Amino acid sequence: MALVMKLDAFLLGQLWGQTGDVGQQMLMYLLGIVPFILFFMFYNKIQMFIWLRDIEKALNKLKIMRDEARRVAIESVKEVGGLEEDPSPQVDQFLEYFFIEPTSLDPAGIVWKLDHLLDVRESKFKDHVRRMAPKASEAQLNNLENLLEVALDLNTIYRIVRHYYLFGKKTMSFYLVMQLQMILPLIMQTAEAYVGALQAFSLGQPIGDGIGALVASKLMLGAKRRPVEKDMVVGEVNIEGRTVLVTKAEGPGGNVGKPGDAVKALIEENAGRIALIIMVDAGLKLEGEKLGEVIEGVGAAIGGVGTEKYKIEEVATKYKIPVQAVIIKESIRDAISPMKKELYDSVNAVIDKIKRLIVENTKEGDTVLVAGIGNTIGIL
Amino acid sequence: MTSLEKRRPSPFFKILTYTLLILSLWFLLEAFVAISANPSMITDRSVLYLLVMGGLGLLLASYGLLVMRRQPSIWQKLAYKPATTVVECTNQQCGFKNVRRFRKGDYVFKEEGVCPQCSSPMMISAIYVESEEKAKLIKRW
Ligand SMILES: [Zn+2]
Repeated sequence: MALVMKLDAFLLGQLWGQTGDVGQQMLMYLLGIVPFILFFMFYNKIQMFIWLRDIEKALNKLKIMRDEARRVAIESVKEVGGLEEDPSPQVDQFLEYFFIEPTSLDPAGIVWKLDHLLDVRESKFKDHVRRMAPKASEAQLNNLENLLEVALDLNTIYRIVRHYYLFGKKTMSFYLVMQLQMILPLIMQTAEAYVGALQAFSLGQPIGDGIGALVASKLMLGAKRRPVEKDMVVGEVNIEGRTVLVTKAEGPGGNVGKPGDAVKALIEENAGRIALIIMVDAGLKLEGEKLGEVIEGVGAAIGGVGTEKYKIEEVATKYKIPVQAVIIKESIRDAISPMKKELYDSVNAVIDKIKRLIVENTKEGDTVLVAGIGNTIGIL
Repeated sequence: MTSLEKRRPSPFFKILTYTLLILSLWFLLEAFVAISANPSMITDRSVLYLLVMGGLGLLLASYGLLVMRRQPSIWQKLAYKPATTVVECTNQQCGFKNVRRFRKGDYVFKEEGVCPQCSSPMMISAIYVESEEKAKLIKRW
């Protein structure tokens, strides 16, 4: 009540007490619309302020993730490396390692250029890691390499978002800030997925992406494995009278291998007499769909930059071999986080599906190629 | 870049939100007291002002509270997710199964010891993490 009295006195008495009734009303009216005018005038600025705040918060989180990745990487290098000196400077040097893609001005032959550059990159990475951790085993080296790559990716995301944040703030460009704010959920989802990978790669646990490798490994359990091409193994099993060549990356270190090269080599070893190629991979889960659902389709099911996909399509086309795919539904986040129980529960369903595909599409005595795609970390 | 270093919502933001909350509640209370004393006061300009300002303030304050509630689960995301290792007997008829915590060096299809029931070799058949809700907030692993 007291406040009402005071406010009344303030609004009507003190300030405009002596003006006429009409003048008073006019002033009140103006006072009422001024906030709205101000709001419309500064709408963009207010919006920008809110967006910049959102971005700043996200950036904050990205920084924490990046620092954590760096810490985990350094600790892992120290643990398995067996070197006395502090690996921090070398890890930091690694965190800004860049890769320049070949030009696509003249696209002919770009796949092989890209493939070559990726090979060089990987061997450089491995040399670098080996120098940091000379006492690590091959599997540990692969895991460390994967771990450092995660740290590198998180660092890159952080640096790029920070660049656009600071640039947007500096120039106060509405559309620059807007675009960044709009893709922020996607960026954060990717970054959080990488964070999930940290645990897996530092401990050598299987990740969701490894489901293809897991299926392949289970299929050739007990069979003799031999290396084929770089970082790939192949095992031969018999399913319903068909010879089935099962290939996957060599485990249990973190490794995706080169399935394209392996498929090509195996087809050429058999002089093109392969009745069917079945690829098993993780992916394609849309929001609202169930994790671990098994679906089938046609085509080379393999992610990455596309070089391996190209090789498989090329060789399959050359020998006119049908390529079918079995996909285990997973989001990107599930794919690089430690593997969940639901995925193990789907392994038998995948194997049944593969057997059915083989029986339905080939005759007894045929040779079939099954390629388990994915990072085989934590899976033999 | 100092503002980027902090992890919790700033104390300034908290104080602002609570002050706003208290002020708007006070405004609304004053308005209601005035109206209940004399119902015709509802058309009074200052009572209207109090109502509008109080309402807006309450809205803003509840937004602030919401923002504070949603604060960093980032450490939760960085937390170690407990992993489980399942070791199974390779003898199909036996089916002996041992479920334990994941240890570094475990990998799927690694042979590990012999079955206490039938002395067949045991093999790791699965390594998985529990769903995220069960994840504990352990920073280091
Ligand atoms: Zn047993």
